[in-house]
Amino acid sequence: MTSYLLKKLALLLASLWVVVTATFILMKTLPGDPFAEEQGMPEEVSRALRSYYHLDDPWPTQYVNYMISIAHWDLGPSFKYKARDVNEIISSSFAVSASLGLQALLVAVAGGIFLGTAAAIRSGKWPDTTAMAIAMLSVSIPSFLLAAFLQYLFAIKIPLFPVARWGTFAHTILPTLALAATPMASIARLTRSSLTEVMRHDYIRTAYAKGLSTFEVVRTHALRNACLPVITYLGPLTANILTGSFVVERIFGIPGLGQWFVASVLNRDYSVIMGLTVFYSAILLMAILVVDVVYALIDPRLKVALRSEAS
Amino acid sequence: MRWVSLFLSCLLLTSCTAPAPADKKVLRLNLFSPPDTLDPRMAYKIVTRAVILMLYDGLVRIDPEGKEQLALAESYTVSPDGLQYTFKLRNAYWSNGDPITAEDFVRTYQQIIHPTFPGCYAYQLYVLKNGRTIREGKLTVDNLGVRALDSRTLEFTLEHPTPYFLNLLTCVTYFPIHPFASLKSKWRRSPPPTSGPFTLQSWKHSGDLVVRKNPYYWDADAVKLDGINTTIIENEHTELYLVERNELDWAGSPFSMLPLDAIPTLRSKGVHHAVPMAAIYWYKLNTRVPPLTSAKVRRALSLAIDRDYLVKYVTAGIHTPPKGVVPPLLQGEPRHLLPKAEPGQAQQLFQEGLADLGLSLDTLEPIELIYNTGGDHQRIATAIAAEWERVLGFKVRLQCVEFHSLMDRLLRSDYAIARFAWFANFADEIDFLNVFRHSNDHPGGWVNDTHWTDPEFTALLDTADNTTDRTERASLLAQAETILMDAMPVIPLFYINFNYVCNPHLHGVAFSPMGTIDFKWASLDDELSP
Repeated sequence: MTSYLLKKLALLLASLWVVVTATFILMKTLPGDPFAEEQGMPEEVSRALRSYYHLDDPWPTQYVNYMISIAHWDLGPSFKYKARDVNEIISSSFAVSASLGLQALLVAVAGGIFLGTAAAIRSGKWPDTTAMAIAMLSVSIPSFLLAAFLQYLFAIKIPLFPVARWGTFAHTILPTLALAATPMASIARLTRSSLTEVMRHDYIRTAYAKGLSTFEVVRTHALRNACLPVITYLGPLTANILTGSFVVERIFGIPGLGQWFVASVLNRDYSVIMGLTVFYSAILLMAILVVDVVYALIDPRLKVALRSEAS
Repeated sequence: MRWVSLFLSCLLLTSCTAPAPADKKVLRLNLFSPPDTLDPRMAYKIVTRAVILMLYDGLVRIDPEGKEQLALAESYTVSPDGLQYTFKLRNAYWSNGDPITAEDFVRTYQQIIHPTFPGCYAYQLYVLKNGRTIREGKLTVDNLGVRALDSRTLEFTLEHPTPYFLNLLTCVTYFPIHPFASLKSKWRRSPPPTSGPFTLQSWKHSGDLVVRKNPYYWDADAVKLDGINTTIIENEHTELYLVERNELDWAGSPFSMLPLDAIPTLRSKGVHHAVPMAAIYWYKLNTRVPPLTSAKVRRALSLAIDRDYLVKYVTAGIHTPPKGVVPPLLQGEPRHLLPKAEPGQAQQLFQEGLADLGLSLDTLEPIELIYNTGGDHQRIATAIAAEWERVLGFKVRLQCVEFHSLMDRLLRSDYAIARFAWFANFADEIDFLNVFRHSNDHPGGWVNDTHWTDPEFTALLDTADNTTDRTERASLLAQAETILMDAMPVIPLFYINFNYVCNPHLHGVAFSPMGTIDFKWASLDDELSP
């Protein structure tokens, strides 16, 4: 298991390096200058700005300096927001996005597994049709539309929740629902199809024959095998949802990380673009690594395969 | 079932929110986008300058009547040749009790003008003697035309007579900073001492910035607000809704733009306000790209546009049709250099222009009109393109690019027609004409992009620079603008106005024509503002 983990970690670091290098090259080929403003400025003024941020160094020098600073986890200052460092931007905004994301993840996983299970157990009957109809709707409606609709209905028309911003639990409810809808639908569909397949196996029939109730059969025997595809899906989903959704955060005025992904590119804020790429890639790759480890822990067949590989 | 209903009632009770009762004397603003710095030397964005005006003071400020009012300066004298300004500073203090001295001003300006200082607005100090030369690295900073005669006397020496110098001093670039402030200052955690009507109480990571009245401000009696709470919501519809629900006190310019579709309703309710700004929306023409090489073609394109229609219907009447390039509020000599739309004349001029170039409408390839994302640029471009095709048979290809790509294309002259705007740096008509003083190849022509200039036009501006007589100067600048409008390297579309909606109890807000907003004298009273 340890050698498996070490191999995976090495692969993670190599993948991170490739992503960061590719982003650096792409970023440098984008037209535009982070300091270009409508009023313009004389050449000597823009030269001083570029020099201050080392943008006039040759690309290889900028690249090497940047890789060294990443190794020290110093992501540099923002070019656009001069009062802020990239580290501080990420840490403060990620805290907000992550807390919203975790909430949405809990709702999506709980709701999705519940809907998927209900559909699988009563396959062909009204719980199945209803659950899948809800799932279809949730996956078809774009998140920005759902977010705007929820805001209009439950914050403006019927003022149950705050319209926007962040601060109390009440501020998190509508954004959580908007964020959770699509993943919940996907999890429901995955659970349903996986559980339907597992429920056909002989050992499930044996469990029923022994007199176990449907609830006990599903909870103890079926779900554990059926949730493997869901766990695979959860890896990238966790990374995406924790790093914030630009659209939902924009509509609800949430000071999260999502807005920075778009804003940094539009502003040509190179240090923020690079910092966010490193951060997001690290989270995504770690999430995939965790999924791999959880797989190995949950699935006895993998455990056996790993042990025999080690010996 | 009981547990479910109990849970739901708890949820409802905790989540119901009535609007928080407004503290009568604390203003609630939505900054729309975060200020990028609190350092006056580096400030550029309008929202940044608005926040800096809360925290800092300068020699002069614009008051709610739009006039320059002495602030840190108690009095001043001007030499007869207009080249020397001597200011006597009043007794004023930084927020930590240190006195504000003339040396603070000199040190600040020397830092900004230093060749390596990374401030976008450093060129605002070029009116000071040797400003440009020092910035180019040819002289040291102590040669700058500013010195402290003593700790309360500040003397400026200018490159040429500058009738708008007092107005220029209202720009935050001219505000002094405390000796503790540096480029490495951590403004969020430990901001350096400030000098303005408010002090920074907190600046959260979420972007919410809170300021409170500075009791040690020299003019604290004039400050009626207890403080200002700001938030960042980047959605103009949400912002407007919050103002209607009395959860915010301001929506619209200069922080954001009111949604166009809401304007008729706001007007009918009588809550929409419009204030003229010294700003213009125009289309830049690359005079090196045929058929825009012909002045007749350019004038024809301008003559074909019905600007009254454009302003009234395409932009919901929130802006003002132009009279030229210089807004009337800055015109020394009143003039109207843009004739009304004349389709017949436009067609004739267009044909003549094409004929001079040996081109014809049938063989003319469509040229590109680029504009950036956001705002109403697409609406306006679509309307203009349709009008050109209808009146002149002239086709343009519309291309939307994002802002930095637009700037990049302008810089490389890789464009034919480009949407742009000009916001005055200071309240004088020469700022609009200076854009075209030099061609792009010249160091002073950094914002021209049209590749048009005219020696006679430049000579008029140079003469105006050295003229102390106001009437004569106004006449010279009017002549220069006439030459500009004859050549038409830009097509003015409308003068931009401030459009906003605010709490009806808010009074005393000071606007400057350059787009900054000052809440020093603002108050939230029981009476409604007019």
